[in-house]
Amino acid sequence: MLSRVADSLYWIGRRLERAEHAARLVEVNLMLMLDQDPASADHRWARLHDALGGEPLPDADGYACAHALAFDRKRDDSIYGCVAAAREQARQVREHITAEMYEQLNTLYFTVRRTDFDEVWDRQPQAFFRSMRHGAHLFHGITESTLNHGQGYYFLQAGRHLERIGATARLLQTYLCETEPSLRGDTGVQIACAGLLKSCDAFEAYQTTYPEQLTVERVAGFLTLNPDFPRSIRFAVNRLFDAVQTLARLTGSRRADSVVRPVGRIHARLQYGQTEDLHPDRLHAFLQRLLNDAEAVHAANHRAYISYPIEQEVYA
Amino acid sequence: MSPPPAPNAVAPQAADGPFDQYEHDDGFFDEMFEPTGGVRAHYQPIADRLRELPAEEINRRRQAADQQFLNQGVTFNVYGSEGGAERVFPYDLVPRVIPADEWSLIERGLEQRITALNLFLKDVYHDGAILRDKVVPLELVLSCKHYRREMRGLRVPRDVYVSITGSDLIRDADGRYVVLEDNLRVPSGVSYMLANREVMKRTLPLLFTRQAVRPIDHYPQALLRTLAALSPTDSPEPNVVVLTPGAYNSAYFEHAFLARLMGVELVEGRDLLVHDQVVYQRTTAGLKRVDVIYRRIDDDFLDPVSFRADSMLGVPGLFGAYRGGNLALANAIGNGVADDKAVYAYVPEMIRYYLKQEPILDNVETFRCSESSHRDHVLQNLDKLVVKAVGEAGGYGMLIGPHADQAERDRFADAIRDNPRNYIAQPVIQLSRAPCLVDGRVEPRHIDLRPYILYSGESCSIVPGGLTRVAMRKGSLVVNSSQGGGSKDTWVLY
Repeated sequence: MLSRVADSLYWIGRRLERAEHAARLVEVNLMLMLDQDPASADHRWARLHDALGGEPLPDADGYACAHALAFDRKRDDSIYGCVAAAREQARQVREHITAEMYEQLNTLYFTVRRTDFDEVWDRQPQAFFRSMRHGAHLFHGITESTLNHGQGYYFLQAGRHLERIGATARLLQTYLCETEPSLRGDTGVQIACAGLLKSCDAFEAYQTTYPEQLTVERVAGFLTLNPDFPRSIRFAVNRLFDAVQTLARLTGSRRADSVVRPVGRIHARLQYGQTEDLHPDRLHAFLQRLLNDAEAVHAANHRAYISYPIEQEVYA
Repeated sequence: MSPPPAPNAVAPQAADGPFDQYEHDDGFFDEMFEPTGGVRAHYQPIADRLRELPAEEINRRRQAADQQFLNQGVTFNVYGSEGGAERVFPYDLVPRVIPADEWSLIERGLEQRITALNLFLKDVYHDGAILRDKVVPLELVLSCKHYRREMRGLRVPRDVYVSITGSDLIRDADGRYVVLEDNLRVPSGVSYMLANREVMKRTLPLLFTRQAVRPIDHYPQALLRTLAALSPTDSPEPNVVVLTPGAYNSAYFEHAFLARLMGVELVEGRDLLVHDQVVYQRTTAGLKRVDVIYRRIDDDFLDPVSFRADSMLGVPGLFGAYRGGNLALANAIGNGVADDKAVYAYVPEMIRYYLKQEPILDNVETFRCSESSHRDHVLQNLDKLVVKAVGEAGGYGMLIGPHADQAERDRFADAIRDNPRNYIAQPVIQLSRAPCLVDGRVEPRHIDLRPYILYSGESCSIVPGGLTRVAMRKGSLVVNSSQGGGSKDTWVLY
């Protein structure tokens, strides 16, 4: 497979994951706004922005933040920016994805493009963000059932799950590692933990696993180390590990090991990790290490498959 | 171009089903109807079928065909619109039919022509015998803007310059096929030829059972064989790639389509690199050597080191690999010198010079003002001719005699006397007419024909068919897709 094509597929995976993540966070935040006093709302939006780790937001209210995160065409990390970029990449590699995948991406693009934010805001903003998530889910479902599970598929999966690892780690950092008023007192903790779980579509799954009280340690443990929940970090790492191992086999590249090894190390750490690692004193460092490692995997993948030095090849 | 006058128009015959709007006109050759009004034998099954099908049924099939084109993504990009909008190429459902004897003439004629043009290119870039013998003026060749000095003395694989040609043929009022243009650089449109046939088979399958139509779907494999044969290496499976300028190019659909049907990689300039005069493509498994490039990029943009330095589409060092004999390109660089407007006029002479044969297919009658007898004729008939300055393109420096005023004609007459070598003249072109479906009725529209010729050095192969381009607007003689042109399936009979 051409390196350029692999790179495009990888980025389609990342971009769509990010769009879905942002849509979910905004949707959850809109719901929580209804439960809380307006004073904490602005703080909540600022935190949401931290969790997404994008460009600085104008200090503003929910409307401005939601608009910037969803529709700002100048921001390449807005939902619009991500979907437009993913579609653009898909256009360039149209021969390597299925017609159904392209069609779905196109539909999603035109939905976000044609939506009038003011109208959305006045009526049912949650419904719009929900439709964005569903659009992304549909794309992945279509990919699963129409695309050859060859190199292209695994580059897409690698991008998607690497993005998910980073996004979830950042989310946990912002929600659980701050010493802020909302984490004081039982109700505050309850609301913060519930918000975090909902931001990961994890509320129901968590309650099934731990029907007792919500605690910071339990929630952190669930979202980090649970092997079965699709949005936990460990689950995403398992998928990423699977993808990079398969790519190593499919490409036969002599550089493949440089990607498999760092992913394998993260995999082992989570596989054999324990809740003590997530003690409030150590949680931030634990998550930060994950973020750094994810960044390193991204770079290693790029060096191995996309922009490897020519010398390695011609003098090999 | 405004609709031409129809002095001999015959009133449509009443009660002739879908043909009741069909105006006959003796000024042009009609593909379906004899001048006497009878249907030509090779069109009879189609005429019958069109009379059988109710108008609603025809409309229904037409919609089904539209949908198929959309689903297949048979589109071209329109420049200038946001993000390069895609349009479906307009097409017509009534096939154009060419009987076997006419096709055999076209085939022999094109083979002769391509063989001569290929010899001409080799000659021009090596010995220059035809120039020394003053059969083709040296100045004319050297002043051509597509002449590439860099190609002098460069031996191209198998001496094949023109692997793929798309020649434009038109028919004069008597139905004689003449060559309007040779496209020896990057001819396009073959994907529409293939797509039209696919859609026709599904839309009007019954038609194919009434006439034996020669198949064309082996074109991609024939193309791949032609390309692979150029490979400079001994590898039994040479690596052939299609080089595209990218997703924004107007013909991107075709590039992707051909790559897919040949089962080869579609690459952009940024996917390739040159090391030690060898071209490689960058893959996830490492670098992979490239042996043959079917390039859909113009000469100027191929290699910023050798040609236009500002090209972002090309590959630095590509020409070096070509010169080093490690790469085959189809078509070769510098071919434009042989399909230049002025050089075109000399193709019949090339055929006589290299092959010692008389041309089987004529050019459109062309007067070269450099020759005194031609010049006199041109000057006396300026009101009937189209005069073209050979160095100009796109309609600049052109006089359309019948539409110009006396002052303009005088000005051209002076210019021709001053610099006769710079001008050629041709009669106003004539395109034959073929039946087309317009709003459920059959009406005549003007058409041309672009067959695709593959040349391997030893032989020519022409897939029986081609792209029949249609001027979709009534009376129009312009078949270009940028100006309302469409296409239709082209049937060659056994």
